Amino acid sequence: MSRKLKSALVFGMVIAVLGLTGYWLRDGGWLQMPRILDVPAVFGGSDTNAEGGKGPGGEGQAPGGEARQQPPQGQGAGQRHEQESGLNWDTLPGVLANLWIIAFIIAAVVYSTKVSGFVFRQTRPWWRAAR
Amino acid sequence: MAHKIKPNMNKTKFVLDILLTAAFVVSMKPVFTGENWHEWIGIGLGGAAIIHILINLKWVISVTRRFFGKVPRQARINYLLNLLLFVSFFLTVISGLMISKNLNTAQALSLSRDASMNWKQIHAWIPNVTLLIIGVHLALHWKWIAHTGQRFFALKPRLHARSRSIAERPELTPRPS
Repeated sequence: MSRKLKSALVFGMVIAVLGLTGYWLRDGGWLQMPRILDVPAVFGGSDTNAEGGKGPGGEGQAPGGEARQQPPQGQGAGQRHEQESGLNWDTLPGVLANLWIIAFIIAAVVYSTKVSGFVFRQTRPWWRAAR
Repeated sequence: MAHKIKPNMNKTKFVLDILLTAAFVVSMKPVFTGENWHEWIGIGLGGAAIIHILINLKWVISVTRRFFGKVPRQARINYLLNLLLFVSFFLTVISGLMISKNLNTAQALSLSRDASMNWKQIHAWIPNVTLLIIGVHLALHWKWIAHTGQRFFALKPRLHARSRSIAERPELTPRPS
């Protein structure tokens, strides 16, 4: 198998896997973009971003009424999760959603670097001549 | 001549990095682990991150010394991103420690209600930023991750000369006279 064909196959697989898993996670309401714009007031953000009692990764009140399949115990805003032992496997898709975000960023950065490198190499004669 | 066998730091680094990433992703969902485990995983993450930095300390010192001098642009970008990651990661850990129930830090340090609320807000926000920076950090080191991963799972054999038997190296087999 030629190197180009192998690269194209890998690219296709990456798109397919990310696309399908992303669709499944989004459909279940687990995939949410990290709220990096909700800067706390102490760092100069808006006071309306103050959501005390909210855990990391957007565990609390979801703005805009995003659909999310929460386990029956009700992991709402301000509620403390008083789990005695064991993992709450119902919320595993939430963990996978964060993993998906990391995988998406890796794929986006790696492939955009490859594409920009390719474009740079192809256009090198032109911008060298323009100097 | 006896050859010194060096421990394979790449494998150690690889395993540590996988555990670091997995632990961070898991700890971002306290509903999955429960608050108790969330806090202990967070504390463990802080320690593991320190070990990660110590393992790569040579690079950190080397680039810090030459940062404003002769350093490849890629290394400079990497350094700034790593610095950002360091700040956001340890802010995550520290803010978690400040609101820890297991350690009862707020009471121990006599934190005011406002101060506790501020730390809670920071701890709710900063892991989202850290998650994105971790993604970019892993992307910039993807070549190393893919290469080491393939060798770790024995998908690609080692190319080190000593690992190949003499039979595989025809230039070493004596020619018949």
